[in-house]
Amino acid sequence: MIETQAISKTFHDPKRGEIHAVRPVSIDIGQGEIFGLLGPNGAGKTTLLRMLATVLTPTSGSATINGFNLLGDPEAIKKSIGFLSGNTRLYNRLTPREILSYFGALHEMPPDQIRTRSDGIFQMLEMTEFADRRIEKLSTGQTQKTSIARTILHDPPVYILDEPTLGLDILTSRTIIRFIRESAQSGKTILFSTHYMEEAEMLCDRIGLLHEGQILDADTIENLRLKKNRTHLADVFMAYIEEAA
Amino acid sequence: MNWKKVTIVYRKEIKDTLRDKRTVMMMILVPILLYPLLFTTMGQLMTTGTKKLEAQKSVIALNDSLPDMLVGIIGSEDHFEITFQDDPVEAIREKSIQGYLTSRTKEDTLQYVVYFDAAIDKSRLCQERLSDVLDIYREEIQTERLSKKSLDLSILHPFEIDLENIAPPSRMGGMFLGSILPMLLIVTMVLGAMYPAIDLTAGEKERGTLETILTIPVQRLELLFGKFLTVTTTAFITGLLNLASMMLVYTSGMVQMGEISKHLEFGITPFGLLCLIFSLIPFALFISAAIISVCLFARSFKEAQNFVTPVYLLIMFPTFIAMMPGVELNRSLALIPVVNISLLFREIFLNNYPTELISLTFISNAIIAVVFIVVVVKLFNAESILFGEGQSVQLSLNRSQIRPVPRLLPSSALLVFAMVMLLLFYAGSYIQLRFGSWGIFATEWGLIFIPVILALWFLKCNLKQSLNIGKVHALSVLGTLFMGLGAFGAVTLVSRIQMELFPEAMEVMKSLEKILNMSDTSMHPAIGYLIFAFSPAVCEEVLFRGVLLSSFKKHIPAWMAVVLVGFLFGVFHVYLIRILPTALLGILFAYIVYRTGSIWTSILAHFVHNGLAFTLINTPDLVEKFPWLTSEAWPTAPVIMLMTGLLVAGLVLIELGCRMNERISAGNASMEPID
Repeated sequence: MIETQAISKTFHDPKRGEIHAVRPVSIDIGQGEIFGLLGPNGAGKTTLLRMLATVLTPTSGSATINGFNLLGDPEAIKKSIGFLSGNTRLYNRLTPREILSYFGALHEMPPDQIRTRSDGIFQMLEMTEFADRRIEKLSTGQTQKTSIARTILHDPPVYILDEPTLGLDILTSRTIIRFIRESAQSGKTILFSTHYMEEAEMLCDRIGLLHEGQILDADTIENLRLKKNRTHLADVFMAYIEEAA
Repeated sequence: MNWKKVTIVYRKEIKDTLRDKRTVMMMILVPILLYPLLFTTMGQLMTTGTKKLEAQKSVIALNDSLPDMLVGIIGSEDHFEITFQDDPVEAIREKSIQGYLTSRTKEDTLQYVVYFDAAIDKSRLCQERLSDVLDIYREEIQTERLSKKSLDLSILHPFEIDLENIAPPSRMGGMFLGSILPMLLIVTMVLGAMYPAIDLTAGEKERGTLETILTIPVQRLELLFGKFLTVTTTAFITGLLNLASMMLVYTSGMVQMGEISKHLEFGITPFGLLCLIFSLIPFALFISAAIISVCLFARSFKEAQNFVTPVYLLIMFPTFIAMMPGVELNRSLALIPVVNISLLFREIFLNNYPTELISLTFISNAIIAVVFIVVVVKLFNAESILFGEGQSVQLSLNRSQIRPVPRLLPSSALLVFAMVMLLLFYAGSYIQLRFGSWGIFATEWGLIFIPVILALWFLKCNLKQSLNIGKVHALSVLGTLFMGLGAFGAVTLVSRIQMELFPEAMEVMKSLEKILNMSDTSMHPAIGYLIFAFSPAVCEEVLFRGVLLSSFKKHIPAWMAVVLVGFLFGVFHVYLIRILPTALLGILFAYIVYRTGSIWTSILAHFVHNGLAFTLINTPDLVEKFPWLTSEAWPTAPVIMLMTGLLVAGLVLIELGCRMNERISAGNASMEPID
């Protein structure tokens, strides 16, 4: 469902010169799979996900998502993905219903379908109570639920989630984790990044260990443990970093 | 581009914007409150102030030598209070009295002298009152003297003057409105556009909503146009509401400007109103695009506010031109943005509808708006600007904390430029006026070169990269010489065109030459070339084609960097009339440095240009023979062809030299040993 071919990104920083945020990365993620990108801050997770979400243009390489080429048909890719990030925010002066109606219209969904789908999502995520209240008046948890609603509104086959639980309290994080699990069960492909080891262990079918823009290895948690003969995922990760150094 | 999506974005942004209190305040509340408050409260205050002033007595001192008759007339007037002062002039300064009347004899003529302080309202009024008294006194003496000779006073008044103002009150009102309202209208429109522009660009970046919207099927261009139309709408509606509020205030008779109101009528024909609304459209497009283009560079709402302030001042400054007496809209002024719209508003308020000038203003603003829109589209597609870390100023007072950098960030480079401009403004003008030619030498090296090099040293910049110091091929050097000569011709031609459009420019140019003192015959030619050609060539190039160009070209598209450096070079030459020719020269110099990667080329071209100018000014015979050399006459067709030929040949040779250099570098690279 997601396949990257030596995708890379280089930035030019006036102070530090060329920065290779993502070195050629090739990964292959199947339908219904939860693939976790695990790495410390600055490893290149966000840049890689932003490229796959068509926000950034790769410096080299390419990718296909849901059968569409990233460079050839970015519009089709945008229709195939739902992108959610811990950093992204919503329009404070709009209500959840207005936000869904706006994003639905841009996804070219007919007004009736937007209405029906929004109502369904509001019930599913228990949002009906605050669906007509402005975002600026909502709690963090309610805002994050709205973000989820926005992500799944057009029912895409692929979710790209960039540190979706970053800075959230336990209760709100649980809502996100439950959403990821249930989505995978319903056949969605999920690529998500995190630097929380427990989260990765709890959710992922496979994990890609990202360090300084490079994938050190990508495998199931069990196989990674076996390869490095370590129990804890954090120790496994450190072993890979030491080996790379 | 899918216009349906543009509409969706536009509708959402309008809804979002209208829920923003700051925007609503600027767009709706300010126009509703501004004009009634301004013209009723201020008018009443003015009227009350004048009445209060007129009711007060003027305290005066009189010299003992004044004739009794004059003192008698003064004493009979109610509005004088006479006191005695040892030092009446000092008493006026200390505001204890408002005037002092004395007399003296100058060249056998008796003079009455009224001492007053023109900066004090009360004292000015006192002077008027004393002048009136002196008129009465003079008339009485005249009558007395004439009657002694049995003559009538009318002998001194063979006729009377009666002034009949044929301007109807509506035109008087128009003149009154036209002098102040364009500025108010433009300023409020800019303020109306400012908050939504910041909110929809930098604000969206800061809140992180931009990333969200870019992951859904909407093209950047659609998104940008939706935002751009929103900002234009708010600017336009602000303009409309301002107009409506003005009209309402005037037609309702709320204007209370005292006596002046009796002679004014405020009215505008439906056609005039239509013209005003029609003119607001391209102006709203222009200011929206200009403000958005600046806001895109900011990372946060606060930073955008700082960036927009200079733009706001730049737009506001030309509006004062409409307030100047004697300036009227003509074909040339109709091409200058902001100035054209200010003057056009004034014409319309005067019930003049010069259709040709209205069209010219409309087209000029529309073209500038399109240019800005193209810039905004380019910026919105640049990842470094949309997601970059931003352009914060790299300044710290502790040098040990500064990390070495290859070149300055654009914000820091602009700060260096601003610092040099301030130094030139405050110290440079004084030094040049005090020391003449050597003052120019001192300012070039002391206020441009040394501060720029010190700034680069302090900020730990790599000198070679910051100043674009690089090798240059012999062919490029030859090309630069040709280009320098051709550029001189091109600049002369542009100056000539300007002089044709603005004949008064000739006077400015001549007075400028005097200030620059370039035709100082006592000066040895070698010193002249050192001061007027070599020093500017090195010092100004180090700042413009060195620091500014090296910084800009790494952060914005090359063509934009070249144009921006050229524009700043034009601004650096301060006089309005010199901006266009010098900006053109600056663009050419920036292009050759960008292409060759070497500042030596622009130093040479600058030296050739200034050296040629110096030679001409000091060779009057040559100028007499070829007056076009100093823009005083049009160059002939063969001369234009020669200049174009030199310019083109120069650019071709530069290009050839660059390609040869690239080939040599490629050859050297392939010969390097492979590990």
